Amino acid sequence: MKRALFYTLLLFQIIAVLIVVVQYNLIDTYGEERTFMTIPYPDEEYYLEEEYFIEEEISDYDMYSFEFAINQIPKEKWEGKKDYGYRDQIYVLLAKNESGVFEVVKATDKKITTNKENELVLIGNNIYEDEDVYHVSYGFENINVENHKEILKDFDMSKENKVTFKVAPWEQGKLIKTE
Amino acid sequence: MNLSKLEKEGKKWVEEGYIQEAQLELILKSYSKQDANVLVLLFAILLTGLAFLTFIFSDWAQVAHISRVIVMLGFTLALYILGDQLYSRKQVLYGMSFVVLGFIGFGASLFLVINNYEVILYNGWPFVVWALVGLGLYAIYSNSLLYVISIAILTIGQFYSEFSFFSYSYTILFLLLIGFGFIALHKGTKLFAYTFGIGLVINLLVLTITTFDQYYYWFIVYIFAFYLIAHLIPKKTLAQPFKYVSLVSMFLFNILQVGFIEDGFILQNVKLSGLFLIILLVLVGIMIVLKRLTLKTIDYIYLILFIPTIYLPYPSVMTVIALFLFSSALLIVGYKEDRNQLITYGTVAFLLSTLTVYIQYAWEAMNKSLFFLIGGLILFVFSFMIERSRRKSKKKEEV
Repeated sequence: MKRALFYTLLLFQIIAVLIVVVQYNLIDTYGEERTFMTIPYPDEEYYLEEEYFIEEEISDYDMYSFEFAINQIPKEKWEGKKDYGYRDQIYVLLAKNESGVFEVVKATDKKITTNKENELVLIGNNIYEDEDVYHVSYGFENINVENHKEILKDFDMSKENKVTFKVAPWEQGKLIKTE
Repeated sequence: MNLSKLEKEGKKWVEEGYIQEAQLELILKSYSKQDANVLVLLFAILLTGLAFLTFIFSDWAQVAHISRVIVMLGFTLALYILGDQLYSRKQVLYGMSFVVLGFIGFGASLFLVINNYEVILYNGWPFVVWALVGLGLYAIYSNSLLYVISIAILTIGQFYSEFSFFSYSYTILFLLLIGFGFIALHKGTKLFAYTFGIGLVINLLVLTITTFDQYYYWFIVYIFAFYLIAHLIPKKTLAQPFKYVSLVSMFLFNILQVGFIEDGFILQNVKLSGLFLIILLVLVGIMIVLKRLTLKTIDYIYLILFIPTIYLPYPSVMTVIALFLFSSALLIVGYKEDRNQLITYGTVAFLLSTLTVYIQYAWEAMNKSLFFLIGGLILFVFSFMIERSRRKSKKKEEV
């Protein structure tokens, strides 16, 4: 009886670890593409004010965090509460524009869902105010630069880039391309 | 085997003539070696386990290639099988060491794939899976190290869940209560009781933190429920540690409460709940009704710690008063009933209460060196008073 339990446990652990690997490869088959636009860094004003040139490449980073347009929600589109705690989350409704890139439609703290083809609802965390926008994080902005060397070969931080992920129905995604 | 207990009993046996002095010495010698060896092994496991866990952050391990997974899983399996083989050949100590390392290796492998394949965690499921494996392993081997490590995993998972994903994991609390609580109740040793008790209190603390600004005082109800349940458990080896853990946590809670009420922002945001008072009174009522035959003065003194002083005017002053009331009551009962343990606890409690008041009100108000000097002087006076009372009670004994 205990023998059986021992081998079952071993099998369970192997499967638990391998499931993660398998699902990663299944994202290609079951995933749908989502494209977002990055915000150039550093931006023009920063350059001119500081009066020095910041030469940075993405290859300088180990872990890079994308800054997308959807990370910055303008205050007009913010329908959430004005004072928020560190635990608060916000539901962000996104819609595809003509070039296929997702843009923010509105952000609200009441749960929303959507069934439309070109719409998407994401949950934002780590809300903070920055001048006239609210900044949120969605969790998928961080990537390991070394592992995606090929995809990020021509990535220029100082320009706007279209970044595409493939996301599976079980909410895990992978970086597909940048342009 | 507890060496000091063995020594005491062994001396009795020599007196009774069961064994000879020389034999007792041999017995004691063999156990002392094993005690030291267990400690050395414990550290060996700790260090190797940490090596496993930190290895996943190394450069080699970060590459998202199946080879890394295979090596980690291979190591884990090898450790498990080696451990199990040794265990079945009666090499319990070394067998269990390798099984525990295999257990940690599983956690390392799981977090390795999560890291390398860029899995985004929305809740603490890896910790739940890891602890479930721990539960399964415990069912096979009944080893206390597995129990302790699993509870540590659950507690860390709870912290992760709350501070990384901002959601409290009731799954973890449930697993802790049902799975590991059941084991503690069944096994009934002090180690399990303390491990479970402390793990539970920390989980309840995190639960309190989720709504800290407004409802932090609900901690009192959680701990009181635990305290009440401790009274309903017949096994003394379980009930005592549970009671001890709840009372110590309540004492620390009160001490810290003085601090953060004084800070000010709590008073701005706190929302006093009527439901809380109802539940607390019901629980206290249940306790008094159930234990009316065995409740002594001392039990009523313990209840002082559970008073929700935030509901009273001048809550921080009231908390300080409650703390001093509690400590003095312990001392008074301790001297009257001549219970040294109570006197010790009362003294420590009194000291800590004085320290709290002193730090809260004097730190800002006076020069730092004066602060320390006066603190030292107060402690000298304390020590003098304690010595005097000790000599008085010794004289009483001689008379």
